[in-house]
Amino acid sequence: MKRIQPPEQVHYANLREVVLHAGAQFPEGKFFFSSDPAMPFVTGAELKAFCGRFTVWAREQKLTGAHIAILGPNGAAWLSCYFAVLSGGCVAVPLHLGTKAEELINCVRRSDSSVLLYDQSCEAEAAALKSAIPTLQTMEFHGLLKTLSEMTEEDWPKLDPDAPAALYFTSGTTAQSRCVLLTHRNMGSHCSAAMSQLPLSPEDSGLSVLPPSHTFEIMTNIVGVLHCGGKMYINESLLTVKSNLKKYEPSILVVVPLVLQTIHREILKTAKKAGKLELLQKGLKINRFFLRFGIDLSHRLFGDVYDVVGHNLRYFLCGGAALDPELVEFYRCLGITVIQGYGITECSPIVAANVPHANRFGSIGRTFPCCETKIIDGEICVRGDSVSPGYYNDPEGNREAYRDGWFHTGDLGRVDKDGYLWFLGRKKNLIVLSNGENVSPEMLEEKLYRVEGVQDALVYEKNGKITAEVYTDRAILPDRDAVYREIDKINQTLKPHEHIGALVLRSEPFEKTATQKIKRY
Amino acid sequence: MEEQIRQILAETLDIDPEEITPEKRLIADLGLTSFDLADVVLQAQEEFGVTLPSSFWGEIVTVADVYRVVGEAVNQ
Repeated sequence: MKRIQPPEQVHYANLREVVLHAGAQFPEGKFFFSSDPAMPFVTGAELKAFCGRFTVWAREQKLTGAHIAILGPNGAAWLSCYFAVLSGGCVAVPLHLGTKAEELINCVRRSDSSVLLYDQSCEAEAAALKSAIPTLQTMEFHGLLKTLSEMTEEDWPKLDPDAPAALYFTSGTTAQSRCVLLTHRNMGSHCSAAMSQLPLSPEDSGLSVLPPSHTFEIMTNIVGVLHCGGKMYINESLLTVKSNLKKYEPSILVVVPLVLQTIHREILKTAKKAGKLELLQKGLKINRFFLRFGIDLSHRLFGDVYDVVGHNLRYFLCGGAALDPELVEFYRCLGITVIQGYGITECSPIVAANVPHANRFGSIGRTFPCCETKIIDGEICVRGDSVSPGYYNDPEGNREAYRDGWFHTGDLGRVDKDGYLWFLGRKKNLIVLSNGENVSPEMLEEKLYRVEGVQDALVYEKNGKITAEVYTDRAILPDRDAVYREIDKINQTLKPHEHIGALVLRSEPFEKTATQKIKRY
Repeated sequence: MEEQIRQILAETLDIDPEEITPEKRLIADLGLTSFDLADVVLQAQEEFGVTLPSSFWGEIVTVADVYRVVGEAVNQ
């Protein structure tokens, strides 16, 4: 079988160099197609000009080095502002859209942001912030970009690699989000590693599904398209993923496991409705057999499936939470490779990924060249160029996470003899039973998510019992008895101490983070 | 229709309509920015009472592409 070669090595010192590359290589290329009627895309040359002119504008406004919060929906305007701020010697502070006003005020204060750039759809939030923090300067995206587009002078001063480039609020599943400082070196080294590892090409087209206020989206999808010059469509909301997959037929999709689960459910539902579920399952077995010999019959066998996901889809890049290996296998048999990445905002974010030229089923891949990993007391620890120097103004958080020169991720893992990293669950989530046995709730949640009709699942310990809290599609799993029957089937596959002993049936979905992870606490 | 589109483009760019020929590339030759193109499309939509598909932006490179896509929308 032909060995898959890794992409060529590239080197970017910072994100500004990615913009300069896009401006030089694809000056007329249109990036980030979105539904914003005032700015439906930005060209490579325009983006570069915005960045060079922002430096001049910021200096004139006495804002060089300022922390600038950015709030709005994903699109050419948001991304232009983000890259301009980063490139112009200021610090970008992306805020999560949909966050309550109180939390936004908290984020602006904690990050010491003196300016807010916002989309006109966020006028109410901008007013609330201005009223709470009167010294905050506010400016609407299009106002700033129009000003920049009318300027001519550009400036490109040297960027200190260790100067702050961005402050990111983790969309963590715990109550208090952390403010992560990323330097130009952090982001540049990650870009160099990611673009040298991920299989992107100019023929690729992407659909941006995750929020840009999350590093995983910016540092893979968005940077990837600027690096390669491919097409990128911005998805408006999770509700439009299904229709946009058909409309834009992307070849690469950067997702979190929830999106993969949703698409999987949609494929099965469509096949069932058409009376072709058995045929689909038979087809998967046939293709699995032929794939062993390097023969992929997916496009001949699964025409109907590709009607659901679009006919060009070849890669999912998935990160953000534990992923069910059976789901990876399902897509592999459909002819779609799932590149499972493991990342954390503090590491810019990818630490390891199962890339096509080096992958091991079930693992989370080998460590990216921008960092090194070590297992300390069962915990995955990371250090290197892509690792944040620390949380912003948070000595307690830093003491807790940075010890002996290593960043402690809070995730449990192991490394096999070939250097592949295996994710074993969140250290904080680990259920320690009274008999001393450990159970990973993520492993049980994976099994629950495989059950048709389970839409959300959370497993935790309560009163000494392993408890599953689930939200179901009532048309498929209407009541507790139906869910219990499924839990019984799961328990039969588990060791006795891992059995789910209690059930909470929810009447509404869980509250989720920006990357669609369930908030645990 | 082509004449009207040419007029919109000429007014947006403040140039002689004669300079706007079908093979001219909007960004590379005529120097339109993304803001200019958004303006042109808004005006064309109002002028012809059509809504252009969202895939429009990826399809248009030349003036002829604008004629074609607007023409298709009008005929639908």
